[in-house]
Amino acid sequence: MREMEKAMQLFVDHTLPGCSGCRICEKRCALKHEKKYNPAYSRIKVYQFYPGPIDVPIVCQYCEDRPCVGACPTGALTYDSNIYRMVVDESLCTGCKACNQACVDNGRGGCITFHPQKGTAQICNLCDGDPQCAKYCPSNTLHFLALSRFPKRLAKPAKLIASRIADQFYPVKKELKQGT
Amino acid sequence: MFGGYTGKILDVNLTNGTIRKTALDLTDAQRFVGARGLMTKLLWDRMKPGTTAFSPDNLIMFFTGPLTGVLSGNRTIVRFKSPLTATSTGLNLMGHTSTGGNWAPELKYAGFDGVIVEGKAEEPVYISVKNGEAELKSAKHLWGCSVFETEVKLKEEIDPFVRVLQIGPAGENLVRYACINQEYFYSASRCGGGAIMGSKNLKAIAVRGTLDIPVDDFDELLALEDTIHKILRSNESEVYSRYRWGSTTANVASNDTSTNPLKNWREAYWGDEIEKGGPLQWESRCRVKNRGCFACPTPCNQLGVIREGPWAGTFDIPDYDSTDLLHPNCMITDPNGVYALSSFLDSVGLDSISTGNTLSWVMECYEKGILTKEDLDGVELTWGNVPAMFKMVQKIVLREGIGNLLADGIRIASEKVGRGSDKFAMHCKGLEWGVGGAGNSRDQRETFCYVMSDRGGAHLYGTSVDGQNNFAISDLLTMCFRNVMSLIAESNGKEIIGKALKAATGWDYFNSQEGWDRLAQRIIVLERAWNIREGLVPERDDIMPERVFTEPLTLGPKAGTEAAVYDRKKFEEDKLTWYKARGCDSHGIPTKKTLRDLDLAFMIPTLEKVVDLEEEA
Repeated sequence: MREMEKAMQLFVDHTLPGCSGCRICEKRCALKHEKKYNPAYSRIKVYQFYPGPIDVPIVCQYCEDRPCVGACPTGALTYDSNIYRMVVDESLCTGCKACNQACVDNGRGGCITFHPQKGTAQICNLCDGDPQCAKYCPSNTLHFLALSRFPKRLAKPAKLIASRIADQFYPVKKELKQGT
Repeated sequence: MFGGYTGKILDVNLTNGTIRKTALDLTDAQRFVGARGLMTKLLWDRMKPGTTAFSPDNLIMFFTGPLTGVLSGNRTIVRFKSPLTATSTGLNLMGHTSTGGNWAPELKYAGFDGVIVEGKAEEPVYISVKNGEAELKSAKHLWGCSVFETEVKLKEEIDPFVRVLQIGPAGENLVRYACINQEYFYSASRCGGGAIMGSKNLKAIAVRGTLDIPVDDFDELLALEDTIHKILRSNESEVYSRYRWGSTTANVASNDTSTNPLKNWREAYWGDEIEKGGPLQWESRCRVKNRGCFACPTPCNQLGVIREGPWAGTFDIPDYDSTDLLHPNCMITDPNGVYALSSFLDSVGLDSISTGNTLSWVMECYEKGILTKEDLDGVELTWGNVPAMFKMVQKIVLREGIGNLLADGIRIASEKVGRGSDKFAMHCKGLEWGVGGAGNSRDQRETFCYVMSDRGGAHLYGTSVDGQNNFAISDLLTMCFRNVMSLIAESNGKEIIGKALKAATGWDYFNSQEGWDRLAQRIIVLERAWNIREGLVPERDDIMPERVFTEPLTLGPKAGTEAAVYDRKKFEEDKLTWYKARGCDSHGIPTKKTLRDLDLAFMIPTLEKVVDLEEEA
């Protein structure tokens, strides 16, 4: 819990265009949070774009303004500033998905996933200081970093990230379809 | 309560459109574990002997194993009666092919251990599977679409996160070596699985799942997973260097030991020219990033894009086999041409190994005057002529003119063309030779596995008896064989895998070397026996192309040595050794004792109708 003693906001960052699309992050996330073999429980989600495939991992980026929290009608989704974590109170969450919609509507990534059976919101809580995705990422793409170094950083939509990867590397521009 | 399996199989009959969910036979699961073993048993039980490949009665199965979606087990194994592999009298034999990617785990998460498809749909359809339910949907709008288009269209139509296995125009037109693709460049390419799907009017199987896979001992399995992760990512690990460079590292290495195909397998060494198809060139000119199969600690595909010349903008993931069979074997000197062609083959859904072999065979026929420019519809298929190769591939895909002949594979084509062209038609039992992991021209030990494999010239069958056992076990668990081989080479991999299997299922399959070997032996004998039921006569059909015995290598380190040519006497001896190791008699037929010892006694009555079974070798 070193980062908690230093008391600063951390987040899971990713480099371009490193993601190999192996989804070990999804698997590890589900194992950590639900002790189940099923990536649907994952708080991080890998999107695919074509041509490519270009893979983009999407996870809560701990934006400063947190439109998701404001959008929650029941107060189930909160930010705990003492421990610098997003918290979901499952007993209050109705699974209305307003939080994710707010994330998308504000031009962010749509970084909240939903429990496949209960429908409640699932959001990255940084595994209480040891994010499994960053720990096991085999392609050195996910990193556990201090957000203070990127103060105005906001989450971005997967398609925007994918097109930046395309801009960076591909000489011939093609219209990117999400397929995803 | 058992773990690892979902316990359900999706059983689809396309003729009458029925979809059933059948229970997994747990006794069979304990005996044959998963994918490769279970499917062969199902083929034995459910397919009428003598069914022809393109008959609606043929079955095509897509299976997972007990570790799929749990460990880095992520391969989809496909089995069917192949339109390509055959006895020398033309009776079809086993078809086996596999692919990595995300499909197999997704199928498990959707609640099924496997999919069995039989019958033939009246009009093009695709199967859509979601969380324990499945339906047939019209694929008329997808028919004729390339693999790349189908992938994106189905994702738009169903769900961005759907995983799709699909065929391209080659499969639709029943090209006998059409493949089944996934996510652009992953393909279950060998033995003509795509043609079987095409013959059933089945364009694709789309799967989406969000269900749990139960496991017996979660904590133990997680601990083992950590161990495996560490071993595979150690400096020594072979897969870790693959992760860094991709599988094309093998091109250069095998060229140095003179085990690469050159000029339709005439030679095995291309000097420095080979570097053009190697990973250094790819990295400096095209590579963008790695791509990996589901949950793999060492994602090894090197995705890149051609940046200059007529094919600029083409994506590709070069693979050892496709690169080797197009680059040295067809003597292409422009690496961009190799990548463009390999990408094009993926988009139309053709197996680049069989296509490379077919084209190099035509090139040799053309050079020798066996096939003329008129025979080839005016295409001058000279060595390394990439535009001509593109033209010829298009003809093959559309089965147009000479393409119609070549679309049947070199076994049938060389029979029809005749005039000695069968002497350099490099196939075993109809399947054109692959290179990766096993193949090369004259290394007796390695080339030998093409003869013994249940599916002819397959590069993923294993080169030694031990190697074959290891491949068999990885195919049961659907773990990537590269991961399995690295685990075995770097550590006590067999023990770790045995423990993981127990932790996942709760059943003790094997906890010793003997158990491992016995299980693999059971699977390999089962496959051979199935082939014998379907008409294989080992004495007559376990043969190699003439070139191996009669034309010594003249280039590279093996030139002038004993290894330059395979001695026929040695070959006969090797065969007997293999038969003995597999519990077969001197005619290559499993003995009754072997069948009983391996719990395969149920096969005896059926086999006795076809061949004489000896009691003991």
